[in-house]
Amino acid sequence: MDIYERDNLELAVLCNALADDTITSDQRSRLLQYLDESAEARRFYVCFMAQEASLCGYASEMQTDPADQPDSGLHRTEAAGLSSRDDRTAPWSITKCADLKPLLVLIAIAVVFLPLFFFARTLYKSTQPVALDDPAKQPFAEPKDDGVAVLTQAIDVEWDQKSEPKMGATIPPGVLRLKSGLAWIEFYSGAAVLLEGPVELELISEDRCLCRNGRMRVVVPRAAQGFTVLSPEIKVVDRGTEFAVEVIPLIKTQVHVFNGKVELYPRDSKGESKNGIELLAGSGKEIKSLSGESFDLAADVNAFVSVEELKRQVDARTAQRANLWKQHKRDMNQDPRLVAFYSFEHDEEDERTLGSHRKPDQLLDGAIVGCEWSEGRWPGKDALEFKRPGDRVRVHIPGEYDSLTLAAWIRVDGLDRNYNSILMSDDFDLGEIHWQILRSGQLRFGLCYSLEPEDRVGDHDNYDSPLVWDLSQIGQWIHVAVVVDNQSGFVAHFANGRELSREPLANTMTLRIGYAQIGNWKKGVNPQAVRSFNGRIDELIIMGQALDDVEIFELFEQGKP
Amino acid sequence: MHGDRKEAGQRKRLLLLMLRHQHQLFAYIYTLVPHRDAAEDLLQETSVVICEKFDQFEPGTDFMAWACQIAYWEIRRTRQKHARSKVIFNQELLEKVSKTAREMTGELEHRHEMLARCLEKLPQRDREMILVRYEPGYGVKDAAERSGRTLQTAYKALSRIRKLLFDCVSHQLAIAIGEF
Repeated sequence: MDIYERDNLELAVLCNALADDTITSDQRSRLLQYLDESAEARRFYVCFMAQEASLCGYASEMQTDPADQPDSGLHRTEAAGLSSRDDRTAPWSITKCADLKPLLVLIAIAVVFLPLFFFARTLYKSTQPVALDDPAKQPFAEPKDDGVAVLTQAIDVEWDQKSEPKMGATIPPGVLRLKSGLAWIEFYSGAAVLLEGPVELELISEDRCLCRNGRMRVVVPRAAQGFTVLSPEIKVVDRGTEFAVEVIPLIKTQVHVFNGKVELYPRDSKGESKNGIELLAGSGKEIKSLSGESFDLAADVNAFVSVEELKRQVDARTAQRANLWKQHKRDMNQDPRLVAFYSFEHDEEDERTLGSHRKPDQLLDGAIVGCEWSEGRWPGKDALEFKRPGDRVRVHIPGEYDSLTLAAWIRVDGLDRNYNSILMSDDFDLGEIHWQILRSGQLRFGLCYSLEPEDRVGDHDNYDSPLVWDLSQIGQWIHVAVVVDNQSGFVAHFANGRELSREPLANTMTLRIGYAQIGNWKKGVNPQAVRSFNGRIDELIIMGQALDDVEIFELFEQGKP
Repeated sequence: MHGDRKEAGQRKRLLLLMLRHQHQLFAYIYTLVPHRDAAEDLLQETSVVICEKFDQFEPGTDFMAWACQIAYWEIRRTRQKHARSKVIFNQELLEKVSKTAREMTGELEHRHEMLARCLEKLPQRDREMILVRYEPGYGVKDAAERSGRTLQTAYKALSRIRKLLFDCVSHQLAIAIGEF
């Protein structure tokens, strides 16, 4: 939605004029012309007008003095509704269709049940508002096109900044402050740096960076020659393979060359090769900040963490992960509330079976259709990949439950369909469930609460979470969970251990799963409805009771990659 | 007896659906009929039709799509009556804009949610301006008076605040995930 940024602000001006009813007939013609000719203009217009509509809605809710309201039908009913908004025990009234105004009043009264309005309501309590136009507080830029590097390894990292870089996510130009730990960052040019906290590095472009403080090792393949590391005093241009830089602000900069060669220039020199000093493998230089003096030194391989050392630590961590996970499996298997636990372990003897914890019982084992085995949350952990529309795992979970907790580790690679199934009962019979992700990026839990004989599909309630997935989350492993609690009467969505939303259960009933599919849905009711999941799943847990917030958080903590 | 219970179930379902989608429906109508009072009247009229035709709605299918369809036909049916708006779309443009609005339903829902957070972040003076401007029965003139601005300055301020909110919502959509 770039129109506001573009030079042509005319459309924005026209929309503002329309919204405030100051639009002239010339302006009107221009607006109609824009909308007729440009799809992007229409999109902007729709967003703009929707924002206007939302503002009307939010402002209406904030009325505090119903007596002042003008006598207009809708407004009056809203005002009346507001005063009884806190009356949670307002009964559901039955009205006939002819009586619409009372229906609207009920809608206003019953607004209390809609979490979104609740959310809007609690907004206006005193908070510490962050000024919208304070540039220092702007978040990290959208992770779209302006990335220059990727974080591919991180060991025990502690970052000292508001927006922490995520594994596998692109990093835009800017400053990275690593307090401790090791981080391996690959620039788009092909060069890579191994950061050793504490270190402060500014990423300038795909082949240029500035080390402000700390130690880093730089590895540059042939294709990325010319990669430049700046320090407060000098400019180091790579002409070989491997070197390291250490900067102590206001004291000195050291350069050590381990492989190949580099060229050193004064920091602000334009162009190269005129006053450059060549440094060969095995040698190094120290430059004093204040005096500018420099002197030679021998390259010290031991002063900087090596790539081998990083690899060693990564492997050690992987082994540790695997052990923790074994423990987690043992804990799960002993939990009396467990209904089914799918650990997604690739059994080479039986590749098309998704074993449950009750093996060799096999009652709960899933039948894999289409999906290929792949890598899960860490090297060595298996996962199933769901790619084609037919990919699915068929399961049968018997039993009736008062409450259910579903939890899974999933990696979404795309949200192409309107509905992307995680776990869905085949026939959606009474009490049966649908757990899925909407194209919008929200989680949805659906529950069938009534089955009229004439209906092919029973009536069902949908409980949606707020937005969970956007571009930056595609390709990341996320822990998702949903708790359906008949006793306390609510449905709650969780992501990465934290509660996203909690809604009251509209209808309470015994829960069932029955014949169901992981990552897809039986094409029973509507042949056009493709609900296949696009991504990977590497763990699914079904518990026959409602887990509390702490337990969900622990599940996440135990399993996070 | 069974019939009554079924009817009660129907009404409860209708109520729930209207609760969830009413603000979206209003946004859709307002986009096609950019005049607040006219749009609110249309919302009421559309709600009546939705109520009357509710047993034709197939449970489990897309309620918004169905409701917007009804709204669309109400808008077309009553074009003369609602000619209060200064901008009225001809048939072709009405279809184009309607199609765009329908395609963006999901995104608009997120923008609506994020707008709440962005409103929270507005400087106090700007927020008050918005609340008065959009309060039912009030308008730009009242907002100008309450905030001690001239009318012209008020129009400029509103443009500025709308842009602030718009950009904030776009930003928030992108970083929403970072919050957990």
